[in-house]
Amino acid sequence: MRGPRALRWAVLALSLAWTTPIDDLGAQSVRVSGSSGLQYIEVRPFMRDSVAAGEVGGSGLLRQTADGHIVRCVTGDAFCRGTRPAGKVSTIPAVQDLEVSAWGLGEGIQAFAHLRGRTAWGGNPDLWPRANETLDVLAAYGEFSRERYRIRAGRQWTTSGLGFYNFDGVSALVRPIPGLVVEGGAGRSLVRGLNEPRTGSALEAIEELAPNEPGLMLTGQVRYRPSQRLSLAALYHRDVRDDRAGLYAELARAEGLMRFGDGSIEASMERDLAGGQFNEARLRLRAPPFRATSIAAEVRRYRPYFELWTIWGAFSPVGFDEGRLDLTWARPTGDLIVRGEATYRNYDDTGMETSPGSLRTNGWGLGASASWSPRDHWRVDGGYRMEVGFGAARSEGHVGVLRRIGPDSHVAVRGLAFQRLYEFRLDHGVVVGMGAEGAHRITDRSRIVGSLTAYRHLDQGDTSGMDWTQLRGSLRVRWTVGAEPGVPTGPEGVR
Amino acid sequence: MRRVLPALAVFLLAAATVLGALQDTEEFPHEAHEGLFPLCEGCHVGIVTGEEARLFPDPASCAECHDGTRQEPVDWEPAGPRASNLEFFHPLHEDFVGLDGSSATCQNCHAADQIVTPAPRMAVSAAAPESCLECHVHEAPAHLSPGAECSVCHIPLTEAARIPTERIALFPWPDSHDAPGFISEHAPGTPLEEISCGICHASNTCERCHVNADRLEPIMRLASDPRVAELEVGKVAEYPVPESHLASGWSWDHGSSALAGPAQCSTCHTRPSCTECHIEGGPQSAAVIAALPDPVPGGAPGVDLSHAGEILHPFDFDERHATFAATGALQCTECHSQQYCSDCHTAAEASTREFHPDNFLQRHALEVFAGGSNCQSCHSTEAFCRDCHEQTGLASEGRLNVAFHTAQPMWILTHGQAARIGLESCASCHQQTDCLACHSTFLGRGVNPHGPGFDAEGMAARNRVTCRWCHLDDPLGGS
Repeated sequence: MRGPRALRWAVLALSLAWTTPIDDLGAQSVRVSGSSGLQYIEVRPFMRDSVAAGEVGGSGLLRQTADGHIVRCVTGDAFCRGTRPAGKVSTIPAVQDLEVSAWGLGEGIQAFAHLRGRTAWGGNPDLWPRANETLDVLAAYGEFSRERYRIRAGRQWTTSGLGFYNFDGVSALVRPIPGLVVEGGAGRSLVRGLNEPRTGSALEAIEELAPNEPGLMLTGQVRYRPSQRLSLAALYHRDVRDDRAGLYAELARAEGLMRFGDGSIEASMERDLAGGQFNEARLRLRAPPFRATSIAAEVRRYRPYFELWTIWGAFSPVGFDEGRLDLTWARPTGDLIVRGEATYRNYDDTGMETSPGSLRTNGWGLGASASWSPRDHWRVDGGYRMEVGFGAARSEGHVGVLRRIGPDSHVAVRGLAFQRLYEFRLDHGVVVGMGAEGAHRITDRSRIVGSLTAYRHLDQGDTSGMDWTQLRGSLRVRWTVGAEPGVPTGPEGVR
Repeated sequence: MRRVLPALAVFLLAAATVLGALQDTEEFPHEAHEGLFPLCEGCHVGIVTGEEARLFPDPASCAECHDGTRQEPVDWEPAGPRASNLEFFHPLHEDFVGLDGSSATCQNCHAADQIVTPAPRMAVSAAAPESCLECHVHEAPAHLSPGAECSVCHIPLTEAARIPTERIALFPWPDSHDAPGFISEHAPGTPLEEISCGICHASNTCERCHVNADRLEPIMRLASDPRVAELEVGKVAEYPVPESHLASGWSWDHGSSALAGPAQCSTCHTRPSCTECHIEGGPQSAAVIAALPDPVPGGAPGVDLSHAGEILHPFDFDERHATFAATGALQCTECHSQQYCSDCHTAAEASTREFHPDNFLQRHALEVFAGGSNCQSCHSTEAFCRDCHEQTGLASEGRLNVAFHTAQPMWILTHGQAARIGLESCASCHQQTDCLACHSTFLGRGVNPHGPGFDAEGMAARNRVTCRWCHLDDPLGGS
């Protein structure tokens, strides 16, 4: 379902809106920020293929054709079937974000909207996820705020330790005493990141067993910071079917952070109340730097969580225990930083005693990286990481050189190489890439960023694997016009 | 009488200072004329009378000897009094004598070598300023020392209009100015100290670094001077990091100090120092920011914090910021606008920001298997992942007779273990109905997918509807 042509052109027009010199939008009560992005993507998709069983030699379920493809031959079937890379296709997706804030409607009253327009051109526009969803409303709400409380009504989203949730409804935030924040929200839940109800077309188009009832969401969190050194939070999230026949999700989480000097202790725990299991428990200790060296250790328990409208949770997914060690050395002048990391992961027993092939049940990773600034305007980065885990393994390295040009611009070149191996699928070769990027602050409130990277897949071996020889590019412009509430107009800063 | 001698010493010292000044431009070879002139006052009569025109002898008198017959002719011209901001008048010191009661002579102050006794009479040099301190007693142990009451002998530089720029550039540099921490602590604490600064400095000196020069009264009381302004051209503003800023956790904790004294911040910081990070800002930070000056073109640049974000957030902060944000340990919205979060957290499509590195798409499989990126905290795995995998031919079409998991010949027997460990990955390509083909009791072959310890009652209590995808009859006996 593609939007009307006029709308597509409107998106393009918006993407160029930053060039319009709007210095003042009326009564200094509106601010419009935008992000206009274009990408160029090449992919060689897989395609299903078949070959007459008589043309394939050998025996067994999996056989290799004369040109190197792996096919599956079922006894009695006239054809053997497999996949192979199709021809290269490309697409140019365009994404335009617009954020509009309006205030001055009365003390503490604000209206906010975050719109996203998207389209795609090129050989296969459908390659880009949701390219046919021309316009999205990520947020659109009215807000009334005072020093101690804030109320929002409309489409909104929230991020917390439980991740990102969006919904249509009402939320309230209260600060009863300094350091204590109590926040809650309720309304119709939306599919995470898709900005449409659970019964909308996005899930229906892709899932035969999509939810058949909208969800009603209730979420709440308490954050307490008794001092600058200690902060605690507790969260609860419940998503129930509109017909009350069941829950879509029920989660609770607690987390805390304590800082001591430059060190810190972080802990978090997340429980799937429906499944009665802990999805995540994490403890991280970062010691204060000693002789320019800092060390952080983390232990983590992770088990994947699936919403209750899916059957995935009934398949008894198992989790893993992980240990991680980070070591960082920084020269006091800050111009050289070296980092090393190591991880080890051990998966739970699946209880599948009949598995004939012993799949990997642990994983480990080692990595090192360095960042060096030989002069004020130069920075050299490099790193290598090797990781072996369940399902896949990889080895990769990268190096990059960045040159700042004045306070407003930088250019960089980088090279990379990686190899990944899948445990379940044959794949060969090393991918090397070379790219460049640049950024320039056009004005105090607009910035342009671009990058272009070419990848080449070497030593691919048989032709059954994914061919990663491709070109990728991106161009993005950020801009803001209008007033800045509460803050004097300044540079774009970390935006 | 005891007061006279030291005063006379000073008088003579000052006279020698004037004489010494000659050597700067047209040095007169005093020692070569020893024996010819019995008294200093013979040539420098103006020292005694106070007549500036008679401070030096008439050049014509040289010709009385240097007539081309007895001596070679010379072309000597007196340089005149040296331009200085020294406020000294010899006749006022005429009646003073040395502390020991002896008569004062020019040599008391102007002897070239004070160690040799007696010094050769005509070996003269500029008077040492320390000689003044014999009478003009103050806290300073020496000339140019901290605590010196410079105004006793000197007038402010801006009032000494005759001093050329080049000479100002050669003003002596006090050792105290090289002391550690001087730049951070050089603000005058008393009116006397403030006056002392003005002996050598004009407001232009301060304006090189102080972004709030137009708000600081000691600077405002200093006059501007074009000669000093000329000397400041090309000099770089210096902003040493104060000791307080080096304290552990300063980046996080500076808010309370800023609130307590924003005026102190504005010595070095302009508003961009704050707005570089405090994009939206709360009421408190807004109050501090409003108290800071804006940068002025051509004025002091202020501390450059354009890369403060990198300082505040270490390079691995993106991986571990969740706890800081979720607990409120950092009030993210003080620095970031909401869009900064939504750039990543509303990623219905592949990121609009550089959250994932450029080659992430090629390598993301391992991230999914390892659960390191926690993809589902932002993405709907059903829609986002499978949508893309369908377009790229990776997603399952529900047919089991296509070779895909080619590295596992007995995949049908292995897939259960793989699914329990990497179910998130499975769901990114397979629909639930792919699994129901075998695992449903009424749509498939009734293969039980539940693992050890499966809490059927707990699951059913929360969503019995899902059970019905596989179980036509409620296995728990419900309706």
